[in-house]
Amino acid sequence: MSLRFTPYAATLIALGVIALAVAWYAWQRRTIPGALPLSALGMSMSVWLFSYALELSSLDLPVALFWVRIEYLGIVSVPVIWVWFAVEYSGAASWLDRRRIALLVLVPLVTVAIIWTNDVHRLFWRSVTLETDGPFTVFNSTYGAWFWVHAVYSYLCLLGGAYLLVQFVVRSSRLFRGQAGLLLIAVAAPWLGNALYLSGLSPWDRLDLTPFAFAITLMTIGWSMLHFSLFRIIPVARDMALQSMRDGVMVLDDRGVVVDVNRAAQGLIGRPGNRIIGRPAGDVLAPWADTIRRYRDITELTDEIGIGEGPEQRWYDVRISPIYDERRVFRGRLIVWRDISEQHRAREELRRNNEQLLAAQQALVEARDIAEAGSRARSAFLAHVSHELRTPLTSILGYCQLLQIGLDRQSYDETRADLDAIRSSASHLLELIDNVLHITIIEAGRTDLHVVSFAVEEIIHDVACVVQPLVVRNRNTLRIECDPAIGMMCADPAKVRQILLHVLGNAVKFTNDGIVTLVVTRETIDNRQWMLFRVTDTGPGIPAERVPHLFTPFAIANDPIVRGNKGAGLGLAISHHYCQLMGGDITVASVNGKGTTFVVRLPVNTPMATPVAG
Amino acid sequence: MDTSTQSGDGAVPMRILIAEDDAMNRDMLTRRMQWEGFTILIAADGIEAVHVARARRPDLILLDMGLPRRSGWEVAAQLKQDDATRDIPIIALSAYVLPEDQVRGLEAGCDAYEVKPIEFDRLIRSIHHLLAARSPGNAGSDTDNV
Repeated sequence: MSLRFTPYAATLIALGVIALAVAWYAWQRRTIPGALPLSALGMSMSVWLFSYALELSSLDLPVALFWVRIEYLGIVSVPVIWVWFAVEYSGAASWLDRRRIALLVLVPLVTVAIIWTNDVHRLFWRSVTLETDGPFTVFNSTYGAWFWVHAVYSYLCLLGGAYLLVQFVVRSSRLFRGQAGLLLIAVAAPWLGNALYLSGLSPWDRLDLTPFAFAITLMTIGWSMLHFSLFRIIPVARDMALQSMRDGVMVLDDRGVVVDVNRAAQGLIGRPGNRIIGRPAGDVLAPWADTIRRYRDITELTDEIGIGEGPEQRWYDVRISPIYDERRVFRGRLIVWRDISEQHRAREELRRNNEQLLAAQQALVEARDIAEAGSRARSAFLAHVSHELRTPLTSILGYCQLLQIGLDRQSYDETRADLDAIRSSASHLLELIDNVLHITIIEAGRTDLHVVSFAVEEIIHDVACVVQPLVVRNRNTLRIECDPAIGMMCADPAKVRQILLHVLGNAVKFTNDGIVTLVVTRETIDNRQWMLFRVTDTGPGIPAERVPHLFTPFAIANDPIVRGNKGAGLGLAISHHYCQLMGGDITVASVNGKGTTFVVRLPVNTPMATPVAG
Repeated sequence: MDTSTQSGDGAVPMRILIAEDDAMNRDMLTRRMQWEGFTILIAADGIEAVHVARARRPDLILLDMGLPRRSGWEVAAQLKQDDATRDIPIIALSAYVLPEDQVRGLEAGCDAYEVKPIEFDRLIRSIHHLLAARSPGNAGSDTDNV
């Protein structure tokens, strides 16, 4: 093997050693994104540089051709490794799957195979010669078809890698200027070298400057890695973090124009990044016009906003922070928003459940209060009944004692009057017991109606006879106005009689030296025939505050005003129930000091199925 | 409304005001108290009771709690606040028999509380006891049990 070393070859070997050093240095840091391809790039470059040096030093063609073939191992691998480096460095490593790697290395592998078998088919070089040009021994060739495939492929790879890196630099240029500048030099060097070589402006027109240029690229990246080793992964990491965040991030400049936006924000806005960046935030977020208007002039804020309506509504936690540069000049705003619809929904549900719980609790409290009030009312009723029963009993027992002690010292008439008092009190007692029984049956909802047809006038006459002694005792006048042609009605006669006895009885009992009038009329109201019994007295009247409680037995007993007033008791409550039971009603109008009018209104024909009141 | 009967032993009859709205109860009580030797004053409602008590200053009042117009509790409270009537012993006579009714009666100023129907032996003992306690001549010599 004939070799002759030249200073140029020595330069190439020196560069090859540096390339190896870079490869070794990068290999040691191979866990850093881009370091492993950089190491591979260093290896390929060293192969290229060493074998180029040896090619230039070769004195005969077979030796030169051998080194050229070795050299091409480096030449074909550099563009592919460059792509690998660019992809990893710019944070898109996941793009390189098995299939894409296979496709990338296909052309270089074929190229190597063709080069080593060129003697058979001459697809790469149609002819090869060795010329001596000054200090160089130059390998000269005419290219075959595959060379152009290789060349185009290599340029495409260089172009792709350069594109990725430039794009990455542009994206992160604001923050890491030094590193970005070095990267741009690294990207530009091979192109410059190649341009010089192809344009013929190179001072050494026979010398391929490409390996020198790539050596510069390699060293620049190596230097960048050495110098910025601390920060090197940060832009990638920041970019990755930003892009993989589930929070939407948007950066606005001082005029409100979007300068950056992450993937989550793009998804939320529903547009790709290139249709967001560079546009005013108001345009981009047009569907949220209201929100934008509200926050247009706000530079600092934390808020929850709801967007949309009904079940489609989404909730976002929005934070707007001002961005200042190192001179404390306002440069723009950072907007971060997080979809908190789930939390919001959960919180809403919690709140609703809480409200329901409170409502249920409230209902329970009310139910308890009602039960307690009912229980209190029942106790008060019993106390009232006890009081009412004790009053006639006091008379009965008192007169009995009077008779026991005084039978022999009082006159016959006095004795008879005492016996009358006992009988009268006992009747009153019986009436009370009957009323308590009736109200109990009514309260239990077990009142039966025995509806028959009867003459109204007969009942009126009967009731008038019963109350007559009371009328006389209180020196009242009882007037009955009942048309003899009033006719029949169909109802429960016993209950009608009881109602009239209670109402008329009260009127004559509470009126002294007055007039009590009972007017019976037949009227048609709402296409129905009604029998109206109007009882008017000239008694003391009923205080207005007592009127609402007149027909409720427990309330009467519980009413401190009423308590202490004897007599009225249960009769009106019973009458009220009976009227309702027969489909009618009872109403009262009273003027204090002037008198009272009760109106009992009953259907002439009692409906058969009447809901039981009470 | 003054019905009086000399008591058997010839002493000056004590005057008792019966305030009761139920006519038969009132009549029965009146006769029974007359037979015991008391002079009886009568009131049929609360306002009349206060009026008679002030005007006639009875030695004792039998006061129904369930009086119309002004309840027995109110009457008792009013009389006990008035210097002219404060010393008159009041026995509540009531068909309200619950313990809280009795407590209310005593709080209103009644000196004793008797329930209806009336147990006359007890009532008469109570009357004598209160009259004896009030009479200056008998002060401190009272040994009756109520």
